[in-house]
Amino acid sequence: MELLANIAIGFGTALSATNLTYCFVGVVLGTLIGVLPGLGPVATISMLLPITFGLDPTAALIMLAGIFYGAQYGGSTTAILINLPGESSSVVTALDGHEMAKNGRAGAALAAAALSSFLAGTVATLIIAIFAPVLAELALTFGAAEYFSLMVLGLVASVVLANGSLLKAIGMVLIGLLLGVVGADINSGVERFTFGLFELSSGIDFVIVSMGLFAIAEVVRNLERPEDGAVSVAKVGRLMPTREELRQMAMPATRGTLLGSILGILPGGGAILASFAAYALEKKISRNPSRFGKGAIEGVAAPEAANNAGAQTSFIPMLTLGIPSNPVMALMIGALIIQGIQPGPSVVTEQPALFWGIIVSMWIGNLFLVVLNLPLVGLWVSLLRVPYKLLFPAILFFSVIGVYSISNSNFSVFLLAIFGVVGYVFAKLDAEPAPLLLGFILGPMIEEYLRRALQLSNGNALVFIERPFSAVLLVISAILIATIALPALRQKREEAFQE
Amino acid sequence: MNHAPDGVTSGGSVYPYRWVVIMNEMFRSKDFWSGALMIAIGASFLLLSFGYSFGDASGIGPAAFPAVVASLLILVGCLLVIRAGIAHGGMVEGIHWRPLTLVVASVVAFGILLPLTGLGPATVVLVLLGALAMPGFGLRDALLAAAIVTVFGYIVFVWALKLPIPFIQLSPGF
Repeated sequence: MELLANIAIGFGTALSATNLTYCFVGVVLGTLIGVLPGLGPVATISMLLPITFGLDPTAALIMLAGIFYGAQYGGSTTAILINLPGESSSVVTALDGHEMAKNGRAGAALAAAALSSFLAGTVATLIIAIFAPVLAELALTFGAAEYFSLMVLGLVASVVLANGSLLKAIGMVLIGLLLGVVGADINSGVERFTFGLFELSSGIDFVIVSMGLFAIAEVVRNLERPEDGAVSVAKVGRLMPTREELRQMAMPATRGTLLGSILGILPGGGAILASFAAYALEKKISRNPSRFGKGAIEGVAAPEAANNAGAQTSFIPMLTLGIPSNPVMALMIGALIIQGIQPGPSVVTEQPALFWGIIVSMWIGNLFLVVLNLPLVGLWVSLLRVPYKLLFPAILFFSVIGVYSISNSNFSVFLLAIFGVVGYVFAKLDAEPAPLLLGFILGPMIEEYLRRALQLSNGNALVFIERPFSAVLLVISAILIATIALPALRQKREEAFQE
Repeated sequence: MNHAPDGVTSGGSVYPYRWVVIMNEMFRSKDFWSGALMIAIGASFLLLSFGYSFGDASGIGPAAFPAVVASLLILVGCLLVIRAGIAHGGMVEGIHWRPLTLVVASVVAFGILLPLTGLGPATVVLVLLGALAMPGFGLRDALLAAAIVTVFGYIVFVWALKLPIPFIQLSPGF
């Protein structure tokens, strides 16, 4: 079966000494930032992107991927032990996980999280291996019109599934689209919105935007609050769950995996939504819902499985279609572009070693993480004592140096400062920066496909509806918008987020 | 608040007109300022895009896409402002000026100093200014943090990654 051959290619690539090392580095870093509050995968990957330029593309992607799903593991550690989720995808884990810790079962909670995540990682890897090539083949039949509609759907979906105000999210996407337009237009050569500044003629570098909005703005936000005193950490206790607990968490972990896998593929979905949805599902179908919130192991297993599965399957649209489903994927696309690889369906066939190597290394990374997170939990816990005083200067430093090294120009650094302010203002206004980043990355592509589609159809704007697949995609977009515009469904959505 | 009589005084105190109260709340709501910001950004981009050509349907010009997007943005902004007048969208909490200005200052300072003095001094200034942003940081801790970050930066970026940036420059080079 072709699948086995492909997996063999993958192992061949992933097991090289270089790639294994970078995988390990990635998951360690990922766990680290997952544990540390105030530093997330987006900011970290942004800071490391300039460094990956000198690396082999496979190694770079393997490491960055490791950071992403590794952070899902690390976030649950602090969520369980000190009720402080290191990642937003671990917020639900804290609900029951910390309760378990308070009852002296922290070890079992940690094990439940790690084992469920490992199950999810394995299954998700298989799903990617099976479906990604199929999807890529389908995508090869896509024309400009289909790509345009697909990207529109992607943006609409990311807005619909985003937290918070719909209008503001739409606005942020639009702002992102506009910012993406800055620079010389490929087709006409006209320099748009550059104010004659030569540094802007190739556009605003997305690393600057993402670091400014996510890293710098986050630092300012965190400095607003006086630093909390030393947190008391629950004792870990017995690591292995009892047989009864293992039995209890098997099905929730499985359900979480499946739910997470599906939600991860959807743009705007990913780890966070998956974990919330999985928790809600478990609570709804449980025979004893009152146990939730008081230390139910299902409340740890399901969301942890879901967030890990979601993190991994969110690679599928990126690797096969070149469309990011969340900001981290947008950064991955950026990393590929830096390396000169255009993400899209041809990557599967033209770069099989890269494609399958990444997929297999995700599984290997999960293996590393189970080992790292269970026995070495004490190590991560002691890291929590690193005061923010040392952390945020380091974040600032990495941000500025990373930005500077892109083009060796201090203009980039000043631009970073501007985006930091902008990001802070957005945070104050409760406007999510993630849709902006997605719009920013997709903007030039959307315009290009729009232009090309119109050119090929000789100015017939109806081409987007005349071509069947494109029409389907646009109809789905319209349905999505309609569903939240309608007040009844809007309330349901808000309720779901409240829980 | 919703029982404020329309400008009638009562017992010596003056209740503001209802619409004044509404306006007051609106000016502090997140929705209003988000909307206003979006209108401003949209309008700027829209006006600027008129400087480029629009092309025709079969070959859209450089102005087409940004103009459409900017118009949509203005629309969304207006909707948000209207919503701000109707419903409570949550108030904006005040801007904390100290962390904002100091973090920005530290980044800008780094940008200015890097080509002038090299990586080392620029990093020190970055950390020290950044430390000022956090009340209670303390000079000793700040110097320590600056030292740690600078040394770490040297090891990673100058020695390991061999970035083409001078570490210390005694005379400003360009």
